[in-house]
Amino acid sequence: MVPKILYFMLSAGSLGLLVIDAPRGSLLTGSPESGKVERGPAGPGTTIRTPHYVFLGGFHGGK
Amino acid sequence: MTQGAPPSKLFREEAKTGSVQCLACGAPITLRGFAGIEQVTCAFCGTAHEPEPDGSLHILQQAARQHRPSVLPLYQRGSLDIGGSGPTDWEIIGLTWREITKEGVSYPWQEFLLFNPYHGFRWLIYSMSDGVWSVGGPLPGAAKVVQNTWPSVEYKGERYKHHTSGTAKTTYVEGEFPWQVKAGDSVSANDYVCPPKLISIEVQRTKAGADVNFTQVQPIAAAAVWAAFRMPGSPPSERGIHPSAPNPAAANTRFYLLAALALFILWALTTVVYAGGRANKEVWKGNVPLASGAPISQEVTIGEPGKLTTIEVELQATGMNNSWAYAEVMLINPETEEATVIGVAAEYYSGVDGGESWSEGSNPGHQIVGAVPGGKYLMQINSEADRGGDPADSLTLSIREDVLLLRYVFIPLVFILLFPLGNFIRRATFEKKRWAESDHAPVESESD
Repeated sequence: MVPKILYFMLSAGSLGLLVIDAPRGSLLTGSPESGKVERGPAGPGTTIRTPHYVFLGGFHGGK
Repeated sequence: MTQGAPPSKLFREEAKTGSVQCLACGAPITLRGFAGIEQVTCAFCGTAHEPEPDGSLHILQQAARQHRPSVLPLYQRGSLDIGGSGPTDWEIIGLTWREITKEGVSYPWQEFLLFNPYHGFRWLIYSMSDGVWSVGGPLPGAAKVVQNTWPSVEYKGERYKHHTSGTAKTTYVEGEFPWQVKAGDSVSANDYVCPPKLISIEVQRTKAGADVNFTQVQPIAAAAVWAAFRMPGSPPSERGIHPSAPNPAAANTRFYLLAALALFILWALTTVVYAGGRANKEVWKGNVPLASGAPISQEVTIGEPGKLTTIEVELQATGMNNSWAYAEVMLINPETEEATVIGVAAEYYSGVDGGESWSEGSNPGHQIVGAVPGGKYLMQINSEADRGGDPADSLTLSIREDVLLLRYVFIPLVFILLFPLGNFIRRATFEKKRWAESDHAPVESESD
């Protein structure tokens, strides 16, 4: 009886994962690095059309 | 009509249960099977006697053998449910040891004759070679032999497949029997199985002709026998599979087939809905610099605000060998200055080692990330390529959103098929063991 229950639980669970989580890929994908950035200095003689950011990485305060 | 001699009595007079002695060794003998007994064999010396109608004995075969300790003792009483008629008290009034020898290997077993005055005789059989037990009685009727590629018999609409045949030789006798049986007797025995039932057909050839006996037995757990006869300790361990033991996996086959079919249909529908719902939309594609320096910066929109999505980044390096390239995509939320960084590498190495060519690495390189919040981002791409080996001529980077993730598709399929497949293998393994000791054992190829 236990294997049958386990069979249904695993099958239904993984089907649920396909329905619910697959479109957003929260559980079965790699987690990208995330963190704060700050604007970097413009190089000499360069024309910056968009801001240049430097990744600081990690956790920089929760407040 | 002539008046001949008076007819012999249909029934023998009731045997007297008073004290009688073995005519050979003087050991006490008590008749317990009443009038149905044809032979009583002294437990101590093995001399076979025939009870006379007046209760006295006369010797059928004198013997002077040693007593063998059987797994259950003579005259032990127990309560067993045989054939579903409810728990009934049985007494072991006779026991025999028999064996079949095949290819020099002996397969011995012990047969216990159970008696109940209201229910008659039954058999309890203990296989000494593998420790399994059977219980049953005479077949009410005869099985019909079926001509087939696999020898079979048919009884009450059920097909019994042939399992083993051999010459069963009686090696030891003790107690009372409703027929005459002596050590050294041989019969031709044929077992047919239709789990959980087994029909044994025994043919004994005598001067008067052939005596054919049909017996039907079923497996019984050793622990059940031990408990029924209130034996101390534990029964001898079971080391094999009873020829007609029910296959435990067979009972689950129907369940797993139906469940797998239903789940497979559900999986297919879910997969179609999931795959059909993926936009797999290109967010950005372009060439990126070979050397790190000024990054590419551009505003992009990913997914829908408030929803999480998936992103696949691909880096393709052209003309590259024994070298690598790397790109880092930074998605910056300008309002919070929070960024998500996705790194992707393309590398390819090849050569010849010991006369054999080899290659490794992946070009293009892929990186998939999930749970990316939808919205507007400032995308900043940094890239560089190794100058060693044959460096890349150019690098192309593409970013796609809401991509199809096959891992989510195949994991349910693995679970849906795994259990039925496991049950099938378990069933096949059990059947292989069942038939391994039969006359139809699969021939295993021998490799030198």
